[in-house]
Amino acid sequence: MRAFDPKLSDAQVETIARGIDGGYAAGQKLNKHGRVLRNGDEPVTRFSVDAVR
Amino acid sequence: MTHDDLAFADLATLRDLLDRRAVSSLELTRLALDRLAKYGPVYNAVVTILPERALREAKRADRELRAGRVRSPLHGIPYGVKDLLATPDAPTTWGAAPYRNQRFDFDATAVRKLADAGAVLCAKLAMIELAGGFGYNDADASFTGPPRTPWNWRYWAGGSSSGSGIAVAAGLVPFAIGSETSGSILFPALANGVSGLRPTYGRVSRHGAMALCWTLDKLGPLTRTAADAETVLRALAGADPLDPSAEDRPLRAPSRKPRIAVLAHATRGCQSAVAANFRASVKALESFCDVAGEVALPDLPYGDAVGTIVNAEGAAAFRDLIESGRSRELQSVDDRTGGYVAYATRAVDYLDAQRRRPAMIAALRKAFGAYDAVVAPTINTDTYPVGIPFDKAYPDPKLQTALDLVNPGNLAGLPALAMPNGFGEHGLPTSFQLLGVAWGEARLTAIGRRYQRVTAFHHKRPALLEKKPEAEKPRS
Repeated sequence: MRAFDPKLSDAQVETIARGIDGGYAAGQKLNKHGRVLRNGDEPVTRFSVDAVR
Repeated sequence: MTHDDLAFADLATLRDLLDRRAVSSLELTRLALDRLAKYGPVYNAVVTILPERALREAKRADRELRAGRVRSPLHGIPYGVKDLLATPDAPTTWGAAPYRNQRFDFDATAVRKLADAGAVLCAKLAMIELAGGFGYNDADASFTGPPRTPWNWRYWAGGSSSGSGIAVAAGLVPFAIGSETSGSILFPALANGVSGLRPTYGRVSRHGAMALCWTLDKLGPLTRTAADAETVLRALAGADPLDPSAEDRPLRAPSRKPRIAVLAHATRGCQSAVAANFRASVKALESFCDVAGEVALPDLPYGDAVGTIVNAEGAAAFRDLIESGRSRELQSVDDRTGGYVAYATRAVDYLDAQRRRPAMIAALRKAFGAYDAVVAPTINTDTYPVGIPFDKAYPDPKLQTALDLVNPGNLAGLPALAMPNGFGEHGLPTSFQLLGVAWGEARLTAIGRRYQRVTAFHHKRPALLEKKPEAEKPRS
């Protein structure tokens, strides 16, 4: 991230690294619930409340 | 009627006064402009007051009223907008220092629709920078200063539609427009003791509004009453060729008795006053609703899904800011690094969140779809003190066990209405929410009208300060 902001302190870089780890953990938690996603399960790419029947 | 009475009147009262020529739009507008200038800076509620536009629109409204033309129930009535809606009259800052001089040459569709309805735009209102998309963790996250609730200056006004909540609660304008990605209308409604209506995703065009998260963002009103919220929503709603997500859908409630359910374990992890006030609200609802008992929230990772989606879409929406390194100009220390965290969200996690979303929506529909509303506390605590990180404000471990309807409701694009239901610690308002079915806003406001007929919390007025009681940290 110092490529974007060379003034980031070591403490800020550490905070960012912890945050990224937290984001990855959230991603892992998502897939611990419910059934395993199948190859054909498509993502919502244009949301509508009526997309689910 | 005193100026204070006028400042705190609901929309139906103002409509009646205007139609009887007991007051003019110009008088209401001057009152709003005066109060915005007097109280706005005390509570850090305002970014820009728009006297020229407001007086022009008010004079037009009065001319038309004299000619017998009433465009809508909002004709001649002043209002404010969260400063993420484009207008050509002033900068549109998105609450953030890097955008403090940003200008657009058009009105957002919501502003245009309100102008067509005859309403009078008086101010661009303060907000949490970038609508909170970079993960702020304390109240000092706006370049205009930490927004403070009129009920207790030392406490946060909620976010991200902070100024919209303050402006209604303090009687600066009769109604205001906010936005919600996940919680940004409901939390300010709670913190300021006003009514806040988060519409169904797609009910209101977002053209000209700052995008944080294309698949979650909604615009909606903060008002004195549930009835007012419906009145404003009717003016905002509808399809817009400039926003493909916006649709024309009926906005009506069935004539039968409302059927509601209470969220199971709704008071778990709530502060005692929040729980007691919620139980009293349910009792009031029982007097005119069929209460079907309790329904359980399906145990699914709504928060992780919303967080992943907000991070990925927010980083894309603000990629230019992040890559420019100008995040360092943001007010919140967390926001200065949060953009980089969001930027590193894995594509597979974002896509899996969007792949899991339909199943989560289906589960919610199965659990809640038979009811006009599921009721729960808006959140489990009062609002937070200014100057303390949010995650340290209420450290009691019991409070960490609370259920949350805000993330599930937003993930599914469902409407919700938050209304004041009493007071908790430090004179701060508490609130409860009605979570509805898709396109079911009128069912929520129908229940809200009845609730506010049998309660009086929406009539309470805060004792306003005329100056800040202590100096604040200087702005950068």
